[in-house]
Amino acid sequence: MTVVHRPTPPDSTAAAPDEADALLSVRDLRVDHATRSGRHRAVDGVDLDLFPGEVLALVGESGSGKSTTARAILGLSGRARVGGRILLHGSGGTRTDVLTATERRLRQVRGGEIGFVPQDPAAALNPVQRVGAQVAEAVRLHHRTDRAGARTNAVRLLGEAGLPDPARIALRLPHELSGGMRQRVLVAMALAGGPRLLVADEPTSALDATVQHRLLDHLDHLRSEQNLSMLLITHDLGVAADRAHRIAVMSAGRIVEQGPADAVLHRPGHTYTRALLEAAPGLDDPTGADAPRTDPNANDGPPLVRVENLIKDYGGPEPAVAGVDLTLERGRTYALVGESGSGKTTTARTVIGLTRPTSGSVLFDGVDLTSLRGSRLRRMRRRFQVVYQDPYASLDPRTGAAASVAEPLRAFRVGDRAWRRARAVELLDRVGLHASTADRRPGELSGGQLQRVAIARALALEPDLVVCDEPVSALDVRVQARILDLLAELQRDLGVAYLFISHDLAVVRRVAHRVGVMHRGRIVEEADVRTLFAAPEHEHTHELLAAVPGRARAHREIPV
Amino acid sequence: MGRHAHAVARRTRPAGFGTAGPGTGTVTRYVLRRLFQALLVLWAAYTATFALLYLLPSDPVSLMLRGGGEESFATPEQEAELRERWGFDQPPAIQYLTMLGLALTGDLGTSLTTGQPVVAALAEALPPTAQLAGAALVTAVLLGGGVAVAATYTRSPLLARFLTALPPVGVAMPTFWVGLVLVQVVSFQWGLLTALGGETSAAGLVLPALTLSLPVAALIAQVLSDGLRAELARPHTTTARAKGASRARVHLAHALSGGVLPTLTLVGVVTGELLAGAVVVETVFSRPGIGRITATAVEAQDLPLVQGVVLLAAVVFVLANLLVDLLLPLLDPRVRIGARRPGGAAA
Repeated sequence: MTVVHRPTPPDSTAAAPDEADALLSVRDLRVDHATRSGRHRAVDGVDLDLFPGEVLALVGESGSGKSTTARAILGLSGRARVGGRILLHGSGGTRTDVLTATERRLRQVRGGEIGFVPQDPAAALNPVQRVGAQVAEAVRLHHRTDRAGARTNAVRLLGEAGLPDPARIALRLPHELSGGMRQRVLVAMALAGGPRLLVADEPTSALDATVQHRLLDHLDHLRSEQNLSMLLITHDLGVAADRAHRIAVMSAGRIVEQGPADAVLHRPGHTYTRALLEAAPGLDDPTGADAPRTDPNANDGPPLVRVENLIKDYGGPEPAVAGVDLTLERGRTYALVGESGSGKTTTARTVIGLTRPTSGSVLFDGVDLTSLRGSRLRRMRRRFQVVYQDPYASLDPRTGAAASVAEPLRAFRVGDRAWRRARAVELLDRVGLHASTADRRPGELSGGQLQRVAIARALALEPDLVVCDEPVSALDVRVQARILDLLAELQRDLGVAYLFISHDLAVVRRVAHRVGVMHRGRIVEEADVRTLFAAPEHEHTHELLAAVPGRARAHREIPV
Repeated sequence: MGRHAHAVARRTRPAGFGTAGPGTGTVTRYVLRRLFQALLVLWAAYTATFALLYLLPSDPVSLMLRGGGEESFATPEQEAELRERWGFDQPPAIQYLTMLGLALTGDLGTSLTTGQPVVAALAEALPPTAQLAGAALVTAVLLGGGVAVAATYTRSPLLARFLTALPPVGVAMPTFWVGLVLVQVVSFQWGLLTALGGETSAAGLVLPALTLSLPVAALIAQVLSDGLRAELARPHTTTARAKGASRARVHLAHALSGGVLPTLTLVGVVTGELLAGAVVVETVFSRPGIGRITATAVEAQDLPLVQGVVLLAAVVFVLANLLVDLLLPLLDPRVRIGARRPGGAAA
């Protein structure tokens, strides 16, 4: 029952502290975006209070208005129409309403009083400026200092953000750093102006679980050291449960529930909160590994894929894949877990012949793929397909859903045009998409719908194996749960095997039969899913398990 | 907050983290390799024009003698003598090799119409054209850049729409028409900036340079405003705003630093465009220069001169693009000189 990462709230007994003590109080915030079809209300009457030293998590799915709220607090709503009040209480009893403040005052507020940690560290840094210069710019915008002073300060901030050898890192360009390092640069930048409040918009959702864990720990540490308040925006209830004193749940532009973290998690009052909680793939999930898993196709005949001593060396300091053995049975799911860079994707690409291994063999249904070339390899390709992480990137934005699904059929000259179209619509129906979506383009579909299209496309040629490369990590939790259910159902009905790549153990627990934990190009532990979660052996597995958000919650009980 | 404004004006990079560029040896090797490639390009251009011009059905001597479709006064014997003198009686392969050999020593032959050596003719015509094209390029960059920055910076939707509509208009207007209208209105009606008569004075340069710059400025405005808009839509500009940077600073220091890159590449390409435009502009404004030479040489089918002009254009084109490629790493440190691909190790 130990709650590891939850800092004690500054005043845990007070039910509703006075607004006058608040650092930030948002009242009746309304944000309207102008769209072609008229105005769209993204935020509809939001009230929030944030007290000194407090962490408030704003939880909701994409499109719920969380990020719009964050932008409004920074006075960065752009062309949107904003109403209500956003009061920032200064240390000397001063009050600033962000919505009516002058641009000049807002420039002091941004960075100087409110630090902003954006999501997607890959895109949030200027790609053509050295990261040290970008931090130094933030320093100079808020402190009177010369260039050398700003530089020294920037290096110190980078060090405080937990970057090793900050003086050297300062000279790097963003693309030369890993995702976790970039996010630390953004943290350094947010703290450069000496703010009292941090607004963190999904600060870690683009990162691996272990990196995410370390970064959030560090953020907690910095926050308590400098007595900062934090508005943490996240779609991940696990993260909110671990890190926040209070949680506000947002849906369709409104706050549907707000209260102390424990109360919201244990006694959810709103049906939407319940739905979110049920969908969250925590480690206590009743639909997880302990649920009986029917696999009628399992264990009859030889394995579908047998990988032996696979090595792929790109010429780096160590090979990307350094001797992997794995066996995938027909109709079952083998999950490869590990951090990014551990060699999961390279292994999977080799299994389906997209990458040639340096050495080792890949037997697909008894045929060595590494020896196949040209048309014989192409013929084998009918039998394995891929579903990628980002459906926005893996589907042609100018092609309708049915045409995308029919593309593999066209490539292998299966049937005529009309037949392929009929088959595509049937497949879309199979993955739960109505015929009316058949001609929609990716821009007109949601992330979950797009991933369904990608799954339908992968199934078009009735393959024996589908490689799923992080198929749900770009999706909201509730959508995640539905896609995982769909994958399981399709496996039951069609007997397809999955090679499932993920960094998220909670997701893996839900779908896999067998799990291989990858670390630095090797499988360091392999076991049946139940065994792995019940008695993990390798220390890296322990580390991955500890990083799963929502551990704090997992140790408590949720009344359903 | 005034200090932000001058910080913007002072430099694009916010604070001095020096560039960890490649060593001078790498740059020298890169430039040498590019110059060698340039020689190949020149050779290819020379050979292609030779093939095109010399293998045409008619022959230079008869063209020269019957210029304008009149009867030739020369006897067939005299014609044959002329052919022999210029070497046109030789098989094409021999002609080609002889001329290539001479070209390598810097002799591009003699103009068939004036008898002047081609190199001398080009050297004489180059300064006024260089002046014109240079002025036009500077104007185009300032004008196009200004329109692009203003169109993306303004908060007035009306002004933004107006400025955004300018580039397509600028591209669509034919150069000769713009030139004639400018002469008509500015010189004749207002009596300003007398432009005709081959004046190479500064005042005489204004109208031709403006005329020549308009289509190029329109292209630059189009590409740069697209680049700026794309950068401004990227999350990193929001990050900069959230740091407390002013709109102007975000626009000039952050959006421009990335958004200008496609425009830089474009400028290398349009330099060739300027030479082509000079043909029309120099004719309209009766200025001496490469454009005029080109026009007359083509009209008279003065093949050695045409070939000289083509070579000169190739040289300008190659040098402009080399310059752009050398400038690019200064603006985009992700690009390393001599690297085989972005982010890769230096060759």
